[in-house]
Amino acid sequence: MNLTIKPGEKLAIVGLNGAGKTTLVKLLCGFLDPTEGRVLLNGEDIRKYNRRDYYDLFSAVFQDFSVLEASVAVNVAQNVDNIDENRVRLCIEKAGLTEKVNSLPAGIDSKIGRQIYEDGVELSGGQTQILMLARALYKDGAVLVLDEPTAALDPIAENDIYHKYSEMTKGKTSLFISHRLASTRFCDRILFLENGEIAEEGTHESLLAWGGGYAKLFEVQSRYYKEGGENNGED
Amino acid sequence: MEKTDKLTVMESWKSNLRAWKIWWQMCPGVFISKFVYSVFNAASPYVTIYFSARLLEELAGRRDSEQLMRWIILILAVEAMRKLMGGILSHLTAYEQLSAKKMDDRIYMKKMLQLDYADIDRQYVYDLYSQIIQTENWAGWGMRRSLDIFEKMVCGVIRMLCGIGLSVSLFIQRVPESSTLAGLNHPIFIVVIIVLMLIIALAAPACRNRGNDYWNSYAEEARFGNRYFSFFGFMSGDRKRALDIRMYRQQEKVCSVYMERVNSFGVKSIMAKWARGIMGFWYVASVGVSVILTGIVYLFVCLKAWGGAFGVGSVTQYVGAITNLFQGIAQFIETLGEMRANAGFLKPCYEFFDIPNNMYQGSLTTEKRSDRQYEVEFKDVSFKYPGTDAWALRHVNMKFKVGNRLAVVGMNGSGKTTFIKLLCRLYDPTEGEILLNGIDIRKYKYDDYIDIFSVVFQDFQLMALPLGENVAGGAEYDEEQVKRCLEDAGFDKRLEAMTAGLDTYLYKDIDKEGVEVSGGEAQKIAIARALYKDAPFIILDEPTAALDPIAEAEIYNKFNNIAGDKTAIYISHRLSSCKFCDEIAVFHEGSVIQQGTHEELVAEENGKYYELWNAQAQYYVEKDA
Repeated sequence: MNLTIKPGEKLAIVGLNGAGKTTLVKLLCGFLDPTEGRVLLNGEDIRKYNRRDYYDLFSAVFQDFSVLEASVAVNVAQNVDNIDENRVRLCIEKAGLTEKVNSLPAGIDSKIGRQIYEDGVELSGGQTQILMLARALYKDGAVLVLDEPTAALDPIAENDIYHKYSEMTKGKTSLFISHRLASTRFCDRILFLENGEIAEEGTHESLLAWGGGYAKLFEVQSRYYKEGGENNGED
Repeated sequence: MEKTDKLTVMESWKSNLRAWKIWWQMCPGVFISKFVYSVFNAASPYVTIYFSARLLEELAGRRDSEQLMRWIILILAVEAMRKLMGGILSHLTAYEQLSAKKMDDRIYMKKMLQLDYADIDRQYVYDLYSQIIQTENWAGWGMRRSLDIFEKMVCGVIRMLCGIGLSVSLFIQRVPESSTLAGLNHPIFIVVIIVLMLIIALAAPACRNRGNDYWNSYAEEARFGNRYFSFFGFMSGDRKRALDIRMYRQQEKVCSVYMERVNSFGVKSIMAKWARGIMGFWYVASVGVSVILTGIVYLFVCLKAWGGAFGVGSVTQYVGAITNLFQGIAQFIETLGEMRANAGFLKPCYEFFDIPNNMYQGSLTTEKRSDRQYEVEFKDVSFKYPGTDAWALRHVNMKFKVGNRLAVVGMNGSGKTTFIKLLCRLYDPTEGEILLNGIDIRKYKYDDYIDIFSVVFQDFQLMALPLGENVAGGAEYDEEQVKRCLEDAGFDKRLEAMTAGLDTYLYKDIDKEGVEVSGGEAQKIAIARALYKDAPFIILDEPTAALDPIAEAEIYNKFNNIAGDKTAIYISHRLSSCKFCDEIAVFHEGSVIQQGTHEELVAEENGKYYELWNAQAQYYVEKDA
């Protein structure tokens, strides 16, 4: 696989389950090392760097996340002391969780989870996903990576994320991995992965015109949203 | 710090007795083996004492070598027997004990399975169970400790009895009148000595119990510390957290900091302070008092021996017997103290066991209909989750048309899943009623009622068992039927790739040749499982959340196969699924605000459905210029 990501680029990565999307992300973030070839940061092989320092460049929301049994603020800031509360609130606002957090008894100091604190709050799957987004924003890494970040969200909340996307990614390089091809509209470049390779590359329009795997995926997904679309399934 | 409730002796006794009865029903072997072993342990030191005493007497006396030989051989034989018996009994007891340990979970699991779902879902019940388990993990208090108490109690009592038996003669045997110490024969001495020894024998365990009180009062702090440790100490081992832990440096920045600060068991904790201070004092006092007792015993016995009441051999006998006797008394009293403390910890256990079953009291059987004409209706149903103030459902009226496909849509938190839970009778409505064929579902036998539903919940579970058993929900199954259901769910290609076919184990927990299934594959298996049950109602809650567009389209295509002639309810965020359903119910803040076909609802441009639909469709439908 050959791929160059320019600074500030908004990249979408799509493909079927098992195509290699998450593996690509793990290689990019430095969690895995390539079997052959190299991953370069500004021309230098990332293996030369301290790996933990390299991770600091990235803000990610993966499909499995690690929520801590601590307050909302600690979860967003990922720090116990030296929490910039204003920044926490700002990131929660950007991600879209302000209303929920304000409804909690102790606001951003409310404890999440009930394993330790018996009066902790359990957030729903969708709310947790948004909290993780706020965390990624707080870290303010140069590269924002979102892996299926709207899986648990309803259509309105999902749409909200898309609309805020450009604001969230201002000044950053970003990667958006998703099945839901609606998200690709907000990205500069789309990579269509198949069997571990970049099978197609381009913008939404150019890929549709190309008529390959991406176009087919899009057609399948949009089928039911179109008028009379349900009948096409019977063919 | 929580103070363990001070119960009376009677109450403590009753409390532990109940625990014993529960254990007896599950595992009588534990009691029998512990009893026999305790009797053995309590009595056997006295055997040694007795024989050693005789040997010493012989040595101090006639020194007849043949007699000595006989005693020695006897002692060796008895010791050998003792060790052998001891070994056998210890082996048996350990076996029973370990068996009991495994049963321990069973007591709680049995109760859990019997509980109404509404209770399992209640935070209070979860907290109660959590508290019980934490206390057990911390210091074994509760059900497990009651077994230890039994053992110690038996031991203490037997020791006392044997001790009394062997030391009675100490007080009876008289110093010869000619001796200067004949005064020791005076009854007042006997009384004073006995009283003194009793006081000390009671004082020692009393001190020990005072020390233990501090330990017990630490329960809440200890549980908290353990909860902290259980989470932060083991977090880094959870595979699912691995990426985040590294990306956000969770270990250094949060975990380690918390672990250092929460110091329930560390050197700087309150417990450590007590241990070095007041607790330590009481324990030391207890031991000190015991030593003083031993000193007094030695003094009295030796004086009497000096005076000539009995020989050297008997000295060891009496010293041994009396110390053992008073240790027996001490153990008995300590155990009483332990019983009292344990009764406090058993309270939450009994609270848990005594949670009543309110829901499943109905007795009607559902008629088995081959025509699947089961009509379910919600009549003005409103529902609040127990312990909350907000209405989760409000005035819901819905009639399910048999054979209809209903899509249920709405924003997160609008009541969709609550609606399904009420339909499956996991909760009862707060107001209104749910009817099956015109009769309130509470009147039906629960097992019969639930038989008419096949459900795939959002958080379904597959077991680490063969694929066929997972689909069938049982060990015996119809292979052809299972294969058909897997095919209908879109799993057939994956099944072909499995060399062991339906016997392939899922996950590696039990069979190391087991296969890991992806989220999407697991979802297909869950759908197949719902199909196998072949119930008249099929409910799917977000069944394509983990599937990519192609796999999702497959499910949509097969939906006819999946739904067949059943009444189907399909909850999804992906509104594309609404297109192949006959009717759509739109939930918003607990009420059904719109109901109708897709065409009808999408025409209402001010409606919620239109808003939801457009939010998704706008990216897929090219607007005409």
